[in-house]
Amino acid sequence: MTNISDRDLLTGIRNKDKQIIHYIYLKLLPVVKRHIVNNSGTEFMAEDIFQDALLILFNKIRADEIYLSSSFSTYFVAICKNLWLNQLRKNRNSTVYFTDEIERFNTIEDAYQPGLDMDFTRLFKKHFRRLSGKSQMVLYLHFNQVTPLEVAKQMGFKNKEYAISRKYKCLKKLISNIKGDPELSSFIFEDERVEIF
Amino acid sequence: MKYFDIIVKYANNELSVDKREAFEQELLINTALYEEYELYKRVVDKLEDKDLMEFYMSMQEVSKSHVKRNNFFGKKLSGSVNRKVLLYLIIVASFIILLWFYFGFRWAF
Repeated sequence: MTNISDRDLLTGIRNKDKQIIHYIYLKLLPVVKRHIVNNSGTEFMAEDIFQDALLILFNKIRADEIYLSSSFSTYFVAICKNLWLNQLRKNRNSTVYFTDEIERFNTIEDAYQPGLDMDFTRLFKKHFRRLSGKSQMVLYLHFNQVTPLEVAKQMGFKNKEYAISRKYKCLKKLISNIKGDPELSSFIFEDERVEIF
Repeated sequence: MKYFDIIVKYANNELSVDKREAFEQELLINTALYEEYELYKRVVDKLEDKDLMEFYMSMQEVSKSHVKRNNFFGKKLSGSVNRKVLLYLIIVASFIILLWFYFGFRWAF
C-alpha cells in the first residue's frame, strides 16, 4: 500500500474522495476495531465510532478548524478513542481504562471536543445508518433536489406518488427512531418561543 | 410521532391560512409539538446539507466494499470466526502432512 501524505489525506476527505476514504479504512479501521473490541465494544460499534470520527474530521476540515499537531493517523485514532471513552462514560461504564498509549493520547487535546451540533450530527448519522439502504437512498435523493419522478425511476418505484409517500415514511421512521433514543435527552433545544404569559 | 403529519404540511406550506395560524399559536403553548417541530427541522437540516450527505454516502459505499472484502464464501465472518477457520485449516493441513510422512516412511522401508 503506497503512503499518502497527511495533507493529501485531509484534501481527499474534503473532496469526498472514495479512494482516500478507502485508504483510511484499510489503514486505520483495524487499529480502531482492535482498540474498541479490547475495551468492551463490538466490531459494529467500532465501525460506528470510526465513521463518526471521519464525519468529525470532515466537518472540521470544511470549517477550516483543523490543526494537526501530530500525524494524521495518531490524530484520527485519538478522535476515535475519545469518542469511545465518551460513549463508555455515557453508559456509566467509566471504570474502563485504556492501557495503550494513554500518555500520547492525552497530549492531543484538540482531538475531539464535543459540540452540540456535532453530537446531533452523530446521533442523526447513527439512526440514518440503521435505515435500510433503500430508505437511505430515497431520503438522500429527495433532499438532493432530485424530482419525485426521477426518484421513482432510479429506485424502480411504480410512480412519483409512491416515491413521495416512501419519502415521508422513511423520514417519519428516522425522526421517530431519533426521538426514541435516550441520547436525545442530552440535547436541550433552545426554546426560542416568545413568553406570552 | 403524534404531530408528524401536521408538521410536514406546515413545513411544506400546505396548510390554509387559518390552519397555519392555529398551528403557530399551538407551537407557542404546546411544548410536545414545539419539541417535535424542532427535531423535524434539525433532521431536515442535516438531510439538506448536501456536502455532508455526499460525504456520508461515499463513506457508506466504501464501508460496503469493505464488508464484501471480509465475506468468506458469501457469509459475513467476524474476526474471531476468521481466526477459527484459519485454526481448523492449520489442524487439517498438519494432519495431512503427518499422514504423508507416516505413509511416506512406510513405503520407503
